[in-house]
Amino acid sequence: MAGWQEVILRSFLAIVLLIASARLLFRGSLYRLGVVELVLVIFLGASLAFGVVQTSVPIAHGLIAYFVGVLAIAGILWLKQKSKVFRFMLHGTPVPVVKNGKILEDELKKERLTSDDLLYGMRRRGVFNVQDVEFAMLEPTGEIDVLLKSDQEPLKPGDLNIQKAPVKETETVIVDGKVQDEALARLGFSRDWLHEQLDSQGAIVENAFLAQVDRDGTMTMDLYDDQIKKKQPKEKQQLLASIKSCQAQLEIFSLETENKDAKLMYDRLAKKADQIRERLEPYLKS
Amino acid sequence: MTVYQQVKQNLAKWKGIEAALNDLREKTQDDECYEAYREAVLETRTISKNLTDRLVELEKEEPQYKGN
Repeated sequence: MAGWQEVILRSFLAIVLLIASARLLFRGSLYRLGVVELVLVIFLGASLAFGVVQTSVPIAHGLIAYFVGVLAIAGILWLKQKSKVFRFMLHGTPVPVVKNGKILEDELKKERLTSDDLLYGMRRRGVFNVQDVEFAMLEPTGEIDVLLKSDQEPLKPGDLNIQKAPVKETETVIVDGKVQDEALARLGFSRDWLHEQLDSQGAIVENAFLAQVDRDGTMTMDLYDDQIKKKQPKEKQQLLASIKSCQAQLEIFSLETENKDAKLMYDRLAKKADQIRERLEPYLKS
Repeated sequence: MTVYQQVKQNLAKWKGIEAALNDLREKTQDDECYEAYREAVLETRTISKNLTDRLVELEKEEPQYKGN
């Protein structure tokens, strides 16, 4: 076999092996890997790469190095799962670098983190002012996680006593102009229902890039052709508006009538209507 | 528009709201939503009932509007 043919064959084998090991050993991106794993992954790559081009070396040697590497990684991952002490030895623990709004210079020095690194890490979290920080941790991955002072925290709906309906997952029923029957089945809707919805928004399946259905069966979609004006579903806003207008009308009745009993009754109904509105608002607004 | 007609129109709107809420209730996948819509339907029904009673009273007070 000519040298170049062997290189092709070996490369092919190496790539298959690399893909297989990556698929089996790691989930998610390499970004979250610790330094130790990263070094071992490089070792894997290097051992295969040498084996690929050095045709004078028997193919088995490269493979042996590769399998030793795989075993080492698998062993480390397994040990990390089992033992907290091992995890600590491998990665260390998160270190607080800001406490009570004060930078811990000694910790910075110990971790060999410069003030620029600290500021950079904070800026990546959207914090530009060290004064706003109550507490910050240097994670083993080198990132800095920041807890803001309570008066600098972004406002949450709960702070204003605003009720929000719980967020529930939406189902994606059309992807790339193709109906996703499985998603439809999870929702308990039929294809007929989908076509009805599409009709009411003036579109056809082939035209829709994406269509999603929320927990109330309201469908929103994006069309391939952005020039086409589509009707957005507005039934919920309309419902809320009509409750409001009916409530206002009841109040007017109460003002206009001269019958005392009727006045009381209208007042009561207006109040009830307001309660309904309040109860439904979080669900109808989302 | 007479008072009678206005109340009647209001009643019709509430019936429409009830129907829309029923529709949402049947379509929702979420228990919490379902409960909220169900309660709202019951409340709208009470309102409709009260308004219907008021219409009967108005008919008695202003018999000329009967049947409008």
